[in-house]
Amino acid sequence: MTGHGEQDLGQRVDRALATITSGPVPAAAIVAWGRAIRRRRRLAGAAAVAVVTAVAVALPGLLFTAGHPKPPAGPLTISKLGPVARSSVIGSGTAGGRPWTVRLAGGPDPVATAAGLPATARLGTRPAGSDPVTFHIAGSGTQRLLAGPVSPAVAYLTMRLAGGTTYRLWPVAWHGHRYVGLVVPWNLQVARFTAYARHGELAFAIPFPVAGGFPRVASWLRAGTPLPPVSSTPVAQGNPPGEGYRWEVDVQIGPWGTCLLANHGYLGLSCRPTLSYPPNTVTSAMHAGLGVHAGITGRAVASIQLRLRNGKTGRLKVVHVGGQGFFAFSVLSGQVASWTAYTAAGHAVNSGTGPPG
Amino acid sequence: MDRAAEAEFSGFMHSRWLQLVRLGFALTGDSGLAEDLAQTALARAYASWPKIRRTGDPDAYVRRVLVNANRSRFRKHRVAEQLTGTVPEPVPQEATRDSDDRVTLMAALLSLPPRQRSVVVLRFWLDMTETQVAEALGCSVGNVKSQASRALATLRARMDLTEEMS
Repeated sequence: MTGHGEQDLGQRVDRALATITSGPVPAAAIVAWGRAIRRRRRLAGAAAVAVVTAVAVALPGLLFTAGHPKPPAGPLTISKLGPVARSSVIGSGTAGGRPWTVRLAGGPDPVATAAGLPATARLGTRPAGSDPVTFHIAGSGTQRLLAGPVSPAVAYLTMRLAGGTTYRLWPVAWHGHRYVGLVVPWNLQVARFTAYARHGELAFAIPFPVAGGFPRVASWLRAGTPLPPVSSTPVAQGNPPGEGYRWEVDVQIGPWGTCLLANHGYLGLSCRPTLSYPPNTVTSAMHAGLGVHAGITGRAVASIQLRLRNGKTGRLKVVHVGGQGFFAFSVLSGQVASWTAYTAAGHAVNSGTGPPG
Repeated sequence: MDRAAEAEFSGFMHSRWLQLVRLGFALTGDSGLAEDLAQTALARAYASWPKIRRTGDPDAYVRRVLVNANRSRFRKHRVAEQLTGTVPEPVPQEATRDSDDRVTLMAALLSLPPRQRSVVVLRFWLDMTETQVAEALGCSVGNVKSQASRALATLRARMDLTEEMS
């Protein structure tokens, strides 16, 4: 490879990345986080000096109490705040023995912030559709920041863990809208969220358990709804010749909704409510790594034919589970020129350009 | 931090934000993670701003923090990479060859293993030397060369790069 080739690759990457845009700089969150890091460093320095001094003074006392260790700090506590946010605080408590505070910032469509964690995306002022709350999650380290707008009909929410421990989340009003916010360990196993009105239970959500991450909340069910059965179905798999990897896509349907899971060394996950789509629908649901695409169809679609830019064609079989159809394939996205969806009888019922959906 | 330093950091932060998000996207393929990494890098830069000003190369500092933060995602939890972001792929019927090229290159780049992708991004996009890349990634120069070689071979195989890159 020549130097010219390297330079050309750099320029092509530059052009490709030029399409990546971002929202405004979360300046307030960055500065708040930077200040928190500085405070922690100062405290750590001061604590080190204090420990050296204390050990010198109190060694006999330490030896005496060594056989009586303190109980471990609880993994999570959530404080009940007043109904209206003070100093923009919508949540506080401790996680792993360390205090946390969740604040809102950024005007009428706020972001949630907590020290040591990145800010959430903009929360909006109302939950999506008829959901009692829409959670936004931020963070990629040992903790996650969870915050979202709450419907006016909701008096409070509960979060039940797999072990049975249940926390109560009280919405806090800020600029005329209500929010909840909390910081949780990244691997907290939440088994159920429940939303209550003053007179009783409104709705509940069973999150999809994510390996190595916080469970995904995609779908809320009305109180009293029987739990939908759980199913796991392979959709498609592949082992591209000479590429040295294998990919597969499964669909897992249950009380959490419908989750498409791609596992091929990389991992892609897309969850959405389980819906009855119009019969001829073809919609894209996931674009994971290695060019793996997956999507959902209505009940009439039995197969999808892809036409690639190099002139080749391929037919995808649609797998039907409970009234929804699923398909998956692995082709670099720029290579798909067009697609056509067919019924089992061979009638074309939908089509488009680019990848299906 | 005094007012002048605050103002200086604010200018730095606003002027570098998008570039850092793009670097984060090139490394992770996920726009949410990319913004997280950019925030991490800038927050740490703020915490050490007086020292960084004295040493004189804040750009190198934030890039190093961002790359390390991305590496520690894997080191801390040993998780498989999660590429859930969508590559920008509006491929209209009248798509030009240029936009096809961008989409194809980005998809091919995101299909590389994380270490190879980091080498390509740092070496060929940020134009860092092999030694600088080795320092940033915590590996040997030989390793950088072999990763770059493998990455370019993969990119060649997945894209029509033969004419321009050989």
